[in-house]
Amino acid sequence: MSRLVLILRHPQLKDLYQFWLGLCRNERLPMAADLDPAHLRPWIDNLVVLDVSVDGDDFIYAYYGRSFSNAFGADTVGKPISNLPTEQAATLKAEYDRVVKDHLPQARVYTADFDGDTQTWERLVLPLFDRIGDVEKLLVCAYRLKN
Amino acid sequence: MAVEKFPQRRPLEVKDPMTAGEFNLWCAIHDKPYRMARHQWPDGATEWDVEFNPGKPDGTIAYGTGQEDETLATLAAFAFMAGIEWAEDARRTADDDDEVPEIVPPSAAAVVPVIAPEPSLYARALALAMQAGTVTPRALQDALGISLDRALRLTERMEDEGIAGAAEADGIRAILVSTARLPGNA
Repeated sequence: MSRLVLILRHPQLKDLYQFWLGLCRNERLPMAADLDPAHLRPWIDNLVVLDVSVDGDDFIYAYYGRSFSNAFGADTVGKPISNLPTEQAATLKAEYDRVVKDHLPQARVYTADFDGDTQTWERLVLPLFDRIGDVEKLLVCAYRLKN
Repeated sequence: MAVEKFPQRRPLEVKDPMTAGEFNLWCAIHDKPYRMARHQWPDGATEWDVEFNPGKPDGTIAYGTGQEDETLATLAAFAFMAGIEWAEDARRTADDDDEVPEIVPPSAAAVVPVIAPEPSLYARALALAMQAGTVTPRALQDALGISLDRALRLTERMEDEGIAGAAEADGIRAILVSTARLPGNA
């Protein structure tokens, strides 16, 4: 379900959401080209950037934060989400498709088994626009919630 | 072959050290197909490289910074990118300019094979737009294999020259002229 205002749990995600909302001031669409990585330092290791494919049907990893590559040992940059295991790819695609369609951020909390360790994470997906108002990139940030 | 290693020194005043992550995030945000990655030599030493098209079948190493220190390597990587951008700007300027056929003196023309000039990027974009009757930056990006930014500039130039109309809400511009009225066809 899309929500106009997201209610988040993790303080870092709250801050990033506020940062993104700040980019929307004066009815502007947050554009990828306007972002400065220095402004994203507080979240840089927990960020993922995905490019929306030209046909809009897939999402390609362009940046994968150090926390994730260290935690999951994966190198996803340059690869589409359609390469992921079917169930995971379908879940992510549905989530990203909604952000692209609605032009609105999405957030969710999920619990999963990571090599025998059950963990709960919260993730936030933010759209970044091109000059003609299409979503061209997604900025994803996720943090593990402590029990 | 012995390789002399230069001493690796940090600049004295790096108050706000940059990281490979920042370089990689900058590239991701700006559609630059590069990434810094650390590689390990057989002797255990590590150095930072700049990869081109990381994760893709044609991925390769574009530049070896020769630096073990992440901050110095990131500075070198950004300097490398500055060079790439300079070269892209130079090529873009050349592409955007209308091509003027070179006048070949008759004596030289007799011995030099005549090679038809490659149509400029703008000419190719115009041809696509005329054929479709409309133009969008996305369509040009797709058809010409160029960045969205560059495709956008081409469509803006078409509007400036009265060839395409203003962009509609969905970015589509109507083509306002027929082929016969294009410059060079009058």
